[in-house]
Amino acid sequence: MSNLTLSARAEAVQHSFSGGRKYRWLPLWLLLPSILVLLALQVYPTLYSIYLSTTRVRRGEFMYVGLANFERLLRTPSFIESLRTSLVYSTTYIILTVSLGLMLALLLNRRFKFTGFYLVIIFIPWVISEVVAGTMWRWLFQPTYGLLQSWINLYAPFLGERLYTTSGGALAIVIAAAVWRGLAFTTLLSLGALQTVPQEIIESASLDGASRFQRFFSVILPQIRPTVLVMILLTSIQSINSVGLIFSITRGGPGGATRTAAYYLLQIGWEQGDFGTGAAVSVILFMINITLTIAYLSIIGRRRD
Amino acid sequence: MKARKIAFLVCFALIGALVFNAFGSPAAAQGGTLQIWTKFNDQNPQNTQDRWLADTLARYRAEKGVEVVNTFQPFDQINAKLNVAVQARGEVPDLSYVDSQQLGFFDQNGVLMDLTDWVKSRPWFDDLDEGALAACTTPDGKILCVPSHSAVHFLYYWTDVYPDGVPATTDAFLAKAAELKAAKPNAFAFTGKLAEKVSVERFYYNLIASYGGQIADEEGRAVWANEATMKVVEFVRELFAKGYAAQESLAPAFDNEQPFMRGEAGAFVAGSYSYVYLTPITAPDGTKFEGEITGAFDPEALSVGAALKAGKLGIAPQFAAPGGKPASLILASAWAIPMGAKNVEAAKAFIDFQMTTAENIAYSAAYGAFPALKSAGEADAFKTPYWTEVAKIQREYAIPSPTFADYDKGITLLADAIVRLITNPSLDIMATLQAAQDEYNAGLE
Repeated sequence: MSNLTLSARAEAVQHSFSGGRKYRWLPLWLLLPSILVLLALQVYPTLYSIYLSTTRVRRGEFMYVGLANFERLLRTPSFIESLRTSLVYSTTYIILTVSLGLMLALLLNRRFKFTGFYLVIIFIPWVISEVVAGTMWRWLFQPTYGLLQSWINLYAPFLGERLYTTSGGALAIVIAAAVWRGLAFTTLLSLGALQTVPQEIIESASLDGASRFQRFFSVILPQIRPTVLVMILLTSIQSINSVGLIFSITRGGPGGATRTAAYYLLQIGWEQGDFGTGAAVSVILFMINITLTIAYLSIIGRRRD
Repeated sequence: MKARKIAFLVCFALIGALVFNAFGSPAAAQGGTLQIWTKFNDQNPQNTQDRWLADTLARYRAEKGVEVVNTFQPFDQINAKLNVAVQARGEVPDLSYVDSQQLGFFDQNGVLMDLTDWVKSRPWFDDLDEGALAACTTPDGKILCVPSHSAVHFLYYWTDVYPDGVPATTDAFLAKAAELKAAKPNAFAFTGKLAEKVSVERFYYNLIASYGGQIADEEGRAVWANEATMKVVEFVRELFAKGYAAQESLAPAFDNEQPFMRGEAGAFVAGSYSYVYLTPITAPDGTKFEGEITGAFDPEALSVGAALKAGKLGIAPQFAAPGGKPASLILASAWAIPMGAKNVEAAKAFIDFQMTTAENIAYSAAYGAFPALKSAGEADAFKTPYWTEVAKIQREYAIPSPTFADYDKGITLLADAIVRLITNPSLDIMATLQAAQDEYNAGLE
C-alpha cells in the first residue's frame, strides 16, 4: 500500500470521527461517564456549599439569609485571626518546603552512593498518616518528657522551656511538622525536573566560567521554572486546606494560636454544627485557592509565550 | 513474574475483602435491628464502660431476642455528629447517647424527638431523680432525653502531698503551692484540663461560680466579662507563672492527666467518671497502683479504687473563692431518639430496659457517675466511702450547665480567651474577655 493511500485512509477516519454525522456525538458519549462523576463529586458539592453559605439552620429548618454569613464572618475577630494564622503558616510552609526540597533535590541529583536509600528515607514522612505524624510531633515536644523539648532545654534554652504551650512555639512546631512531612513531595518533584535539564547546557556554562550560584540561578532555575511554579501552587493549596496535622498536634490551641482558617471551618461547621457559617468559610477558602491557581497559571502561561 | 502476579492477586483480594466488609456488614445488620450510637466501644473494649456495653447488648439480645448494633463515636464528637446526621437527613440511629449540657443546642437545631408524654407515662418516671430529669428538660418544659446518670467535678489528690486535704480557697491553695514548690521545685501543686472547651465545664465555670459570677444569662447570651472571671484569670495566671500548675494542663487531648498519674502533681481536677481512666497510677512516694479492668465493675480492681483503699488518694471539692462556696458543674448522660429514627418503638423498648434499677446500677457504676433512678442510688455499690463523698459533693455543690444558646461555641470562645490570657500575661484581662463575649453575642443576632 502506498503512502498516499494510507494518508487518505487516515484522513477519512479522522473526518468520520470529527465531522461525520454518524460519529458527531461519539466524543461526548465517551466523555460522559467522567463528566457525570465530576458533576456528582466536584460540581454538585461546590454548588451545594455555595447554597448552604446563604442559609442558617434554626430548629432543623434551613432559612435563606443572603450574604449575612459572609458579612458576620468578616466582622468576627477569631475568623480574621485564623486568616492571619493561615497566612503565616502557609507562607512559611511554602518557602521552607520548596526551598529545602530544591536543595535536597540538587544534592540527590549529584548521584552519590545510596541515593535510592536517601530517597526512601525522605519519602517515609509523606506516607505516614497525618494523625500519626502529628501525635509523634506532639510527644516530641511534651513539656516534661518530650525528647526534643528536653534537648532544647539542655542545648538551646533561649528557644523556650515550654515551646509547645506558647503561641509562637506551638505554631513553630506545627509548621516544622508540616515541612518535615511535605519535603518528600517537593524533593521528588524537583529531582524529576532537575533530571530533565540537559547536562550539556550546564557543562557549557561551566566552561564559560559560570560559578555554582550563577549556574543554578541563570541556567538550571529557568529550565525548571514551570515545575517550581506548579510546586508552589500545589503546596499553597495544600497548606491552605491543611487540618489533620493541626488537629493531632495542637487542636488549634493554645487559645486559638494555631487555628488556621481551614481549622476554623472544622470547628465552626463540624464541632459547633453551624453549617451556614462553615459553608461560608469554605467558599472563602475556595475563592482564595481559585485566585491563587489563576495567578500561577497566568504566570506559567506568560513565561511560555 | 509469576510471584508478582500472585502478590498482586493477594493484595487485590485483601482490598476487596476489606471493601466488602466495610460496606457489607452494616447493610446486612440493618434489617430488623436496633441501631444505636454511643461513645463506648463494645467491639474492642478498652475500659469498664466499653465492657459494660458489650455485656449489656449480649444480655439484651438473650433476653429480648433483639439485635442491637452499636456504632462507636468519639466522646467529643458524638453530639456534633448526631446533629450533622439529622440536618443532612442522612442515616440517623434509632437511639443515641447524648450529653445533657448540649440540650439547648439540640433544641435549637431540632435534633431530638419530644419524649415528654412518653416519659411521663413510664413506670420509672416517679423514680427519676429531679436534678437528673431537669438536665433533660428544656426551659419550656419539653423532655428531650432520658437521663441515665449524672457526674460532678472535683479534686483527686495525693495524701503524701496534702496530708490535711487540699486547701479550700484559692488564696490558701496558692500559699500551700508556694510551700510545696520551695520544698520540691520539680513537682506541681496541681494539674487538670485548663485548655480547650471542656476546661470550662471541669474547672473555670466552677471557679467563676464560686466567686459569685456567671458566664451566661437566661437568654443564652454570654456575660463572662465580669469581676469574678477576672479574679479567676488572675489566680490561674499565678498558677502558671510560678510553676505551680503543670504545663500539660494547657496541652491538647489527655496529656494533662499524666503529671498526676506519675505522682508529679499533687492534685488533679476531673470528673467522678475519671477513675475509670486513671490507670496505672503512681503515688509521689513511688507506690504503684495497677488496676485491672474486669468484666463486672469492681471499684477495688481499678487503680483509683486501690489507691483510695490504701489511703494514698483522697477526693475533695474544688477550691473556691475566699469566703465563697465550692461549685461543681453537674452533667447528665442520657438516651435520646433523633428526628428521622426509623425504629422508634424498639428504641423506646431499649430505654425501658435500661431504666430498670439493676441496669441503671450496672451502667452508672461502670461509667463512674451517680444513677438517675433514686432506687439505684440506694444500692450498696454507691455506699462506699468514695461514692459517699461524691454524693456529698453533688448534693452540696452541684450547679447546672451554663445556658448558652450555642453551647459549644460559648465554652470554646471563653476557654480560648482565658488560655490567651495565661500564655500572654501582658494582655488586658477585661478587654480580652469583653472581645470574646462580644464575638459570641454578635453570632446570636
